[in-house]
Amino acid sequence: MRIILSGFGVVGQSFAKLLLSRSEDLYAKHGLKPRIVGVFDSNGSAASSAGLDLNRLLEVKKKYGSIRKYHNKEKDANGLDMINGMDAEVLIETTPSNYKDAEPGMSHIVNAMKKGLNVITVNKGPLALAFPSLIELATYNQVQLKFSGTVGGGTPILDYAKNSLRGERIVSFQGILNGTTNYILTNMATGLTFKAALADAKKKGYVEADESLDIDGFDAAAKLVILANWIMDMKVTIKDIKRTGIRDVTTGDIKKAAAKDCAIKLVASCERDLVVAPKEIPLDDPMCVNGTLNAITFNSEHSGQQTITGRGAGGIETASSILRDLLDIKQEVSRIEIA
Amino acid sequence: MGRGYTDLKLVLKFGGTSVSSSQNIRNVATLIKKLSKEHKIILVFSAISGVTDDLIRITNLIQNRNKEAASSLAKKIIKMHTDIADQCVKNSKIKKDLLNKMKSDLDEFQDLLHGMLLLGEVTPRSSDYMISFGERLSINLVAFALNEIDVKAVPLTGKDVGIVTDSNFGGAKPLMDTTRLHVSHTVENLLQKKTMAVIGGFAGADQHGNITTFGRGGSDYTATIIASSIKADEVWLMSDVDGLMTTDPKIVKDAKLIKEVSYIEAMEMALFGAKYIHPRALEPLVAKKIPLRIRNTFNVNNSGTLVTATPQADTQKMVKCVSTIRHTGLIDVRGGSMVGAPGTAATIFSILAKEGINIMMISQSPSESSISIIVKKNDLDKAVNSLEMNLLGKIIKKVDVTVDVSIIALIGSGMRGIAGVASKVFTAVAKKGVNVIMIAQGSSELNLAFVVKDSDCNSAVQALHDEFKLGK
Ligand SMILES: NC(=O)c1ccc[n+]([C@@H]2O[C@H](COP(=O)([O-])OP(=O)(O)OC[C@H]3O[C@@H](n4cnc5c(N)ncnc54)[C@H](OP(=O)(O)O)[C@@H]3O)[C@@H](O)[C@H]2O)c1
Repeated sequence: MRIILSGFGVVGQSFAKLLLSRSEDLYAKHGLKPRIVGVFDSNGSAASSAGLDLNRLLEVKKKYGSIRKYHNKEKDANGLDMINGMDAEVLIETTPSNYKDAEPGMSHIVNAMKKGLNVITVNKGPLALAFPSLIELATYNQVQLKFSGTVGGGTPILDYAKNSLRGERIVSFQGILNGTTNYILTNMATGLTFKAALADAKKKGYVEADESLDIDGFDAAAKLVILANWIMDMKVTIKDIKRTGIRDVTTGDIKKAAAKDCAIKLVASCERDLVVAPKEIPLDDPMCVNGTLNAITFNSEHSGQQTITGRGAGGIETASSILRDLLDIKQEVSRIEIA
Repeated sequence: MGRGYTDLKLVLKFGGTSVSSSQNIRNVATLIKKLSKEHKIILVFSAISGVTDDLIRITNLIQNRNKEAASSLAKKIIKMHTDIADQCVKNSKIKKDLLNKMKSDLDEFQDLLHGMLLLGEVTPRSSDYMISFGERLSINLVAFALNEIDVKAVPLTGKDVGIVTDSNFGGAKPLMDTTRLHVSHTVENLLQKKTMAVIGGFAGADQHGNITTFGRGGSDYTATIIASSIKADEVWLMSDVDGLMTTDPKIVKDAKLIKEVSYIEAMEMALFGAKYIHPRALEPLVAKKIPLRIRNTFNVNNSGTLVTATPQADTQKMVKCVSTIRHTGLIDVRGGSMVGAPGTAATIFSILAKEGINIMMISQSPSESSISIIVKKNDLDKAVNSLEMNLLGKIIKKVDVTVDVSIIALIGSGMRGIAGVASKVFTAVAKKGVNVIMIAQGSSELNLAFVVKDSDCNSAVQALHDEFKLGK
């Protein structure tokens, strides 16, 4: 299976490492021999139709900051050139999530699907802005679009709701979907101000380069869009979400909540409306998790309430979800070939 | 306009007559300006009357390697547009801009023509590109005429505005979720800038950017696609009639305007010849429950026919209208037992489909081992020939033809589940001494369709219109 890897940051590199450590059992157990034939980051690209040497790729990136130095060449293809010009079966999209115009990920995904490539994305921007359209284009072009790493990271929230609750009707759900804000709010509950808690989260490397994506609720809203479309069959985008971040949450608010045995959490909920906002949650609610943890509670028609909790993000967790998607694609492709 | 509410988001579609002379264009522009004081207006325009047909003719001429005729027809189109452009705007600055815009579009048209002439080849893709030019040109005229009367407006093709379709050239369907994303983005941006979108109907583009068209009447479809994409409050199809009528007023003097019909009734009416709606045009509206009005450009005080999900109860009658499709041909196919056998109808369908012939009605009677088919008069000879060539002596013994027949259809959702409608109909018709040649089978419960000789059509229609008191 030939793969083009778009972006080679935390997730992209984790995925390369995961392939290195798993290559033998992937082949033995799943008959999967993934070959990364092209990679690009913001500065350049590396390509080899026989498959790139992943160890060298990681070394070059570490040493020079860009994979561009993998080859010693003058001219260099950009991401779109590579997607449009190179033969492959799968695009893995890991460039930064952008909620203004979803670029460059949007163009990468749309062009790949047009060309007949299956797509795995951990980049939430394109899904947040255009989920219904991307699903439509995938169906029309008869390719698969997978995104299990976008919500919950290593915790298979999407799979659980879609497959384990198969046949059940989910009526509503609410969850804590952003680890960074949860970490900040948890620290504020111990007396830290918002500013101090944010600074601490930044120091730990939990906050996105553009802090607004976490703090103002964009990341949680994007995940809510994905869940609402995928699980509830709603056709919505981030414009349909009522979104409030945690900037205005004060220690006073938190104390007031504590007096009622509650904590303030940034909650994404899908009931009548789609809302992301700080909300008081009882301390004994199973959803009331602390630190960087994520949690989601599904209310289903017959099986009542069910809550899943787990670590939300992280490079290696997300890389493992990419691998899960890749195995699904492999299975689907061979099913079609046999039929 | 004598309407009780304002500030609606309206998609207005105008047909080819409204752009066919500089005077008409100026009149329409004035009307639009007036409406835009009360409402947010998004416009969809057809090509100038006859232009799309001429463009289709050009593609046929190219195919037949008739270069001279193709070029001279193209010249005629170019001259017509340049003349109208010259007349419909007075302000010299705006006129210059319009003529420049026309020139750049016409240059592209000529380049395309030359390319196609050189190759002597017309592909579905190049054909759609060619026949989409009618709208590309007409929207320039309207947009600049609006500019002249101080209405900010920009011409946009279906592709420009963001209509993305499948690659089924000539009969494309929109990829609705993708279209919605792009169109809402484009149109909302323009609305914010208080600029009116003047959108060319009939065409969009596939995901690779190739221009595609929707087929005949496709501008209606454009209007409803746009409306659904931006959640418009209403769509108005502006034409030169007041709306849908209870029957053809040329046949029945007291034919009346129908006030309200449901989406399904309107679709049935489109199927049976109400030529003002594209058969698929209502699809984008149904899910979003956006009402559509058919109204008259030249009689804007009349509120026209309203097409909605839920018509008012007091407008509901058992039968809404008696429509006719005149001058069609009937083919009776007879043979041994094979004709009635399963699969035969399918064979006939596929033979006729290969010839591009549309079957308007079919009826099969196994006991008499015959199948009756109605086709358009123009298709009749071709249809008979292809059936004889392919099937005569095999599963067909005999092909009989009746040249001039008419389909009459009663339409109305009130007929559903009511016993005795058919007997009422056929009694009324029999009283006039009209012979019913064929009755449609397996059609929906919203219509009852049958065939008579065309010479009997008027009296049958009159009788039914009276019987169901449609003139009251
Ligand atoms: N980290 C997680 O735990 C996690 C979990 C779930 C989802 N995600 C999502 O996964 C994506 C990647 O996350 P990450 O943590 O790996 O981010 P990251 O470390 O910032 O990596 C982003 C990569 O994209 C490249 N890039 C940026 N702009 C580009 C452009 N215009 N063209 C080509 N490449 C470009 C960067 O290039 P340079 O290397 O040259 O800067 C970098 O290699 C994001 O969308 C994020 O929201 C992350």
